[in-house]
This record gives sequence, C-alpha cells and structure tokens, in this order.
Amino acid sequence: MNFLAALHEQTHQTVHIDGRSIVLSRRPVGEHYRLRDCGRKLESEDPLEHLQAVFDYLEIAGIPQPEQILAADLASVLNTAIEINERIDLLPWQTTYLTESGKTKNTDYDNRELAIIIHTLAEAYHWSPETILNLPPEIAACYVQEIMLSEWQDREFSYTLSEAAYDEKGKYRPYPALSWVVEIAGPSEKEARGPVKRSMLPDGIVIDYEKEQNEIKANQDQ
Amino acid sequence: MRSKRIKINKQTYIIQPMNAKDGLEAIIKMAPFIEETAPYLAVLAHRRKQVRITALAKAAQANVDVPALLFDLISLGSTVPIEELEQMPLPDLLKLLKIIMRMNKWDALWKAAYSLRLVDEKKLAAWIWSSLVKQKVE
Repeated sequence: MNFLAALHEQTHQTVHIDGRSIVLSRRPVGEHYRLRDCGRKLESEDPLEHLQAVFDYLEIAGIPQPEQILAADLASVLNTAIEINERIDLLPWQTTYLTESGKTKNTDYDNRELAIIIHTLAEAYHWSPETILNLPPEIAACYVQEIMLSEWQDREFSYTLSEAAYDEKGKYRPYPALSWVVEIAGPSEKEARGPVKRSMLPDGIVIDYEKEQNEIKANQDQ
Repeated sequence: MRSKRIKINKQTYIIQPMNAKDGLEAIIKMAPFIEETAPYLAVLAHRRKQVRITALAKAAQANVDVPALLFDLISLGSTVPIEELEQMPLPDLLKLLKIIMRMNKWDALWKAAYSLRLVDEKKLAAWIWSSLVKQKVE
C-alpha cells in the first residue's frame, strides 16, 4: 500500500455504451462496500438473483439506467466496472481485526467493517458520516489503522504509569500488543550474504577476528 | 424502442420491446425448458409438413408439450393473451415467435446471458440447436 499514490491516484476509465461515452471512476468508501456486497451476489447460484446483482452493481458503479444498455455490451461494461472498483490492498486490521479468534461472535454483523470505519473516524476526527463515506476506500482504511495504533500507544503509556505494569520484583510486564501487529523480520545476515560454496571456503583453522575482539573488549570492561 | 404492431392472418398483435434486463430475465426463465425441448423445436419450423407432424408426435410421446412451450416463449416477449394464442395455428405461432425473437434480439441476449454466466454452456448449445430464427417459416 502506498498512501501517497492512493491519495492522488484517480482511477477512471471510459466506457462506450450505445454511442455514449461514460466515465467510470473508482467509487468512494460507502459505495465501495455496497459494490462488495453486490459482488458477493454476483456469485449467486440463482440466476435471477445474479441478474439483479449485475444491474445493481452497474447502477452503484455510476452507470445511469443500466437496464437500457444493449445486452451485447453488458458483460464488457460490467468487467470494466469490476476492474476499476476491485479491492487492491487490504491492511492488517481489515484482514485479522474482525476475525481475531477465527470464530464468529454474536456481536458480528454483515459489513461491520464499514461501521468500524465510520465509528472510528467520526470519534477521532469528528467528521460526519457523509464526509467519511466520500473518502477513497484505501485512505479511509489507512486513517483507521493509524487511529487504532495511536489509541494503543496511549493505552500502553497509561499502562506503564500504573502498578499493574510491574511484578513484585519491580520487573516490567509488557503491555499486550495488538493481535494484528506483527514485526516483519528482514533477512538474517547469513541469508543476506547467501550460501558460500564449500569449494570457496578457506582450508585449515579459521580465525574469527570479530569474536576475538569482542572477547578482548569484554575482558577490558571487567 | 416503441412497441410494434404486426398482422398475422388479418389479426393485429402488439409486441412490446424488452430492455436488456427484461430480456435476460426471459432467457433465464426459458433456459430450463430449452434443453429438453431443443430436439423438437429444431424441426418444428421445417418446411416439410410431415417433418413437423413427426416432431410433434415424438414430443407428445416424450411427454413434452411443445405448443405450451411456444405459448410460454411468446408470452415472455409479448402481451398477446393466452386465449388468443390457443386459437392460433402452429405456423402462425412460429411466425409470431420469430418476430418476437428478431425484435428483441434473442440471439444477442442468449450470448450476453452466457457471457454473464446466467446460463451454462449446455443450455446455450441447446438454444443454438433449437434456434428458430434462422429457419424459414412457411
């Protein structure tokens, strides 16, 4: 995910329907979730439900009176609309936050992710739901992640000031990290260097100067 | 698109044009019947009367009600009352069906329905086989 690119990139494509040119652009977060919901219905086994989903999708994607499109153009227009609006990068909170334990809770409901976006942004920035629903979907997801991390840091700071953060011996007990935050380890020195061929290794005893110098330093410190 | 008036045997019928949604809905509704009736529909518009009679007889033997299917197909694309359809001879029914299919471009609708995965390959193949559009109606 590149925030700057998401902020400035304008995704749109022109479709030609019955001699008219219509510019389709990536829909904001509110409609993005409606499109996602519709996209699920496009997989329906019931052809009538599937057909309804096709026309609903086109309407939400910004095509006026989709039922008037020539049948021959329908598939290509739908493909363009899906291509423009498909979800590209999901942030960690979106992939794991809602299913932390892998189990469904009785507090879960359909499209809860959108409710989380509206609630989090409205609470933190005091934006109206209309403003939030008009944000690009990637931008909204980035803001929510930053708010969640910032809130966690605030909670961690308060925790360090409390007695609960230390055991009887005064040792610090770290504050539990967010389940979806994982440190990404880079390649180890050996991995970065790559394997050395046996034929290229030196013969005889290899003197590790680094190790020796460390030992000398340790002795000097004592 | 405006509705079209057609005259068959001094009788005028009004055919309503369909938009893409209604047309595709009609295709979805007719798709389940097409597979089983394709062999009979394929020869129903044959120029030789004997072939048509044999086709109908074979359909009756297989418990397939071809006139009922024709009524259904015509009803999907027009507002002609079923009582009137029942009075029509078979060649006129076929003529009416052919006009409805041409007017609403059912071939294009079938292709679109297949592209959108509303009908499967088997049903499309059955439709192409049974297609009455390209055949001459006496």
